[in-house]
Amino acid sequence: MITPGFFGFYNAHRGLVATQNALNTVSHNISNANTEGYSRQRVDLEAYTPYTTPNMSQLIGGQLGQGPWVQQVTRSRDVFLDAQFRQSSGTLGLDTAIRDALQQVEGVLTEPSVSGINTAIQNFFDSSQELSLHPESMAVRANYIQQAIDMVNVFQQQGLQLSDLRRNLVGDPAVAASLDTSKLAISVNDVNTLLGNIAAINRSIISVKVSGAQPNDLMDQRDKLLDDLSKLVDIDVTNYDNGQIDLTIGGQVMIRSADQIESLEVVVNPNAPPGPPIPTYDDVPAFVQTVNGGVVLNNGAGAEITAGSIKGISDMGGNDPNLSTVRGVLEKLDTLLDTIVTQVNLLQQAGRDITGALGPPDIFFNDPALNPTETLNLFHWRVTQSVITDPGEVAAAIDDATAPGGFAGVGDGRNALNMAQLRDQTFAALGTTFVDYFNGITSKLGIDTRSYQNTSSSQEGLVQAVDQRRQSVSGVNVDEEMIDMLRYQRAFEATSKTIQMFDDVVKTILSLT
Amino acid sequence: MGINRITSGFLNDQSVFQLNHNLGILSGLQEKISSGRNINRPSDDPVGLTRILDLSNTLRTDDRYGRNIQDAIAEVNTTDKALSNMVDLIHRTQELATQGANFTNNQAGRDAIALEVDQIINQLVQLGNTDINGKYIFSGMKTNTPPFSRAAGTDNIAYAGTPPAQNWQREVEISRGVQLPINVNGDTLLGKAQVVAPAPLPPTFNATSGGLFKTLVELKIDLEAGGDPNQLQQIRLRLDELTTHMSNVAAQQASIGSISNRLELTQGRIDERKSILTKQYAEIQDVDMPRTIADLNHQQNIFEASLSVTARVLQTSLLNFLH
Repeated sequence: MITPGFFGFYNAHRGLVATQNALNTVSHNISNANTEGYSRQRVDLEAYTPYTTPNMSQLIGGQLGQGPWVQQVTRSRDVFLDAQFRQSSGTLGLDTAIRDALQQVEGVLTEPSVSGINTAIQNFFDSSQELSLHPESMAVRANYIQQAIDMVNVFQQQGLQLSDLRRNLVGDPAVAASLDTSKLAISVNDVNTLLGNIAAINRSIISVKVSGAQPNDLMDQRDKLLDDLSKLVDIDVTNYDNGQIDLTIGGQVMIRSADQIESLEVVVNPNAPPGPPIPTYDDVPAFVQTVNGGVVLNNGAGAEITAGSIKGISDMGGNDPNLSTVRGVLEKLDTLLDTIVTQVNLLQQAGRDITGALGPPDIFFNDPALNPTETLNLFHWRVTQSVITDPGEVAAAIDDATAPGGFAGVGDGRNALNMAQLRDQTFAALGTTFVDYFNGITSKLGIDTRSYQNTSSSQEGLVQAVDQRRQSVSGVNVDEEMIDMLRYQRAFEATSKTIQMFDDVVKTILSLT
Repeated sequence: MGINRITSGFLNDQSVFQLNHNLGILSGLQEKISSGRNINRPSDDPVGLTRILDLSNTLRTDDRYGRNIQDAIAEVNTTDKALSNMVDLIHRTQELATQGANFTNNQAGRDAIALEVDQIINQLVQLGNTDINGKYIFSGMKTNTPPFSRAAGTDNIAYAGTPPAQNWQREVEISRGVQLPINVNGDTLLGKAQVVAPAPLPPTFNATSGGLFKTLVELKIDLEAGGDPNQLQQIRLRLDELTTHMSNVAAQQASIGSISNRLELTQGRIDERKSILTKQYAEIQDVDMPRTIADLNHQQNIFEASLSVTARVLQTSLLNFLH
């Protein structure tokens, strides 16, 4: 049995190449130890096709090994954990988006505090009590008017902040620019960018796969993009053997056969016209819909985005009566202020001012020119200028049929007392007293915020747990890589030694001549 | 959780997550301690929030009632003082009338007494115009108008406040839905007088005249009229009238006294309730400092421990042992 004289050199050469590739992969792993979304890669070594030696006596001769070769480089990844991760991260995106918006609403209302709406209402009715004691005092009357102005101001300040907050979340048809700069629009843009990138990588992956290679790093990149996308919307991914994926958002196909066939856009809700008449809970300002199919994805009908921060943003900017949405809180404040000013005005109209004149001008009047971009009454109430100029016009006295001219005297504070006692009355529009109604808004907000803080923090734990499982499959452990490195390094050294040995053998043979 | 491979990324994430978590708890405690309040926003404790909002509403309203009562007490006390002075003046008038009715006095003496009665009338007008910071307390609802005026050089005393016939009482709300009248009507108290003809005796008054002022003016005219026994009889009649007026003023004083009592009683109740409610409020909203600071120390220890563990675990690597 004779083998070619340089057979061993080629064997060893294959060994060197294989170990060198293994070392390269180790180095790749270590360098990417901190790369987000990177999966550990492994070199699958296999013995090379053996060499069958010619033999005189046997048809099938003995086989000689020809060293190793790198069959393929694979990545450690568990697609089921990926699916699990994306699902929980969608829920997390939803919960945190709602939580963040709720916390912002809390920040606007600043309760419990000594400068909020609660205090302003109390101060107003306190000053009304004071007025009932000293209706003849101009200073007390002026203070009453000042408290009325302060109360309306606090309502409007906080109202405007809420209005801005909602504009930042979902935009407002009345302010055209806000539709493009809203969080919703920006997130939808992000979705489109991610979809484009995913489709592009999809195509690269297919072409690499066709040539028989493993596009490990491209697949990692795509997985990372899918992870990012899953925080924004709920996605459904179907994997194919040729490496391509199909992707749907809220049941709508966005990527099919490697190509992006749809993208999202934000459109104005035609049911939410700007300006009067005052829209009710129906006025979600903007919808997310697909560009080509025109399928609306957040109107509660049919295909629907059910998770991700886009869902959270559109929920908080929307009209869900069970949630302390920005608009919901705003409309409740509107109802509250409306009831207060209407009731006070009614008493004012029935009373007599400091001169004994019946039915002086209303204390509050509705001025549509105030904050014209806003539709709610809340933003249009102001204290009547003539009452500010002459607080004597406040009707502290009642219209008393038994008194001469219906006016008992400047010391009559009975109407002011009636105004003050409005504080303790229950009104049909509110179902309770003013202060209780406001406290109800605050409590509900507190409960909602607390609940979303809890769910988002437990969801964060869940995402963390899934990610840890993923890390345990795909993550790089530097120590492990060091051990591999030593292993392949030693193998390289040993292989080199065999080359030296063969060289000696050849030298020996040559020296025979 | 069956995690078989522990990777560097896992360790990093885990450490960051835990450190953040611990730091979050620390910052929550720090906020509590520096603000001194348990509830800084509604979500801190939604149930507690409802409670403290209710409590603070009641405290606010009670506070307002308390100020109403203070205001009322000030007026009632001033009224009481004025009424006492009136009682003294009526006493003095009774003495003077008794002297004037004494037959032994000569006309010069009676003129001197008449002069003093005239002064007493002026003093009563002044007392009837008692005010608190410009607010006339005996004017009924016309608090801007001095109720009594005596036309110069005459015995005509007019009343300009709201008439006593109507129930125009100035009322103060002292607790929810409870209103208390606090003023005494000047007309009921002192009356008014308009002399139509001083002579012949007895003088004639117009129909609306009456009350203490009428009696005083009549007494004065009687005294000036001289020693006619018939007139002395008239002076004795005035003495009887004075007794009636005296008991009228005294009755008003008693009623004011009982209002004052009621105000102080209510104030006491409000103060009592305030101390209970404030305590309840504090139990929910005020930070239990010793406990929170102990919590803070405890949490700080945990945080430091987690920092030191992180530092140690992240440092260990095979690299340290390969040379």
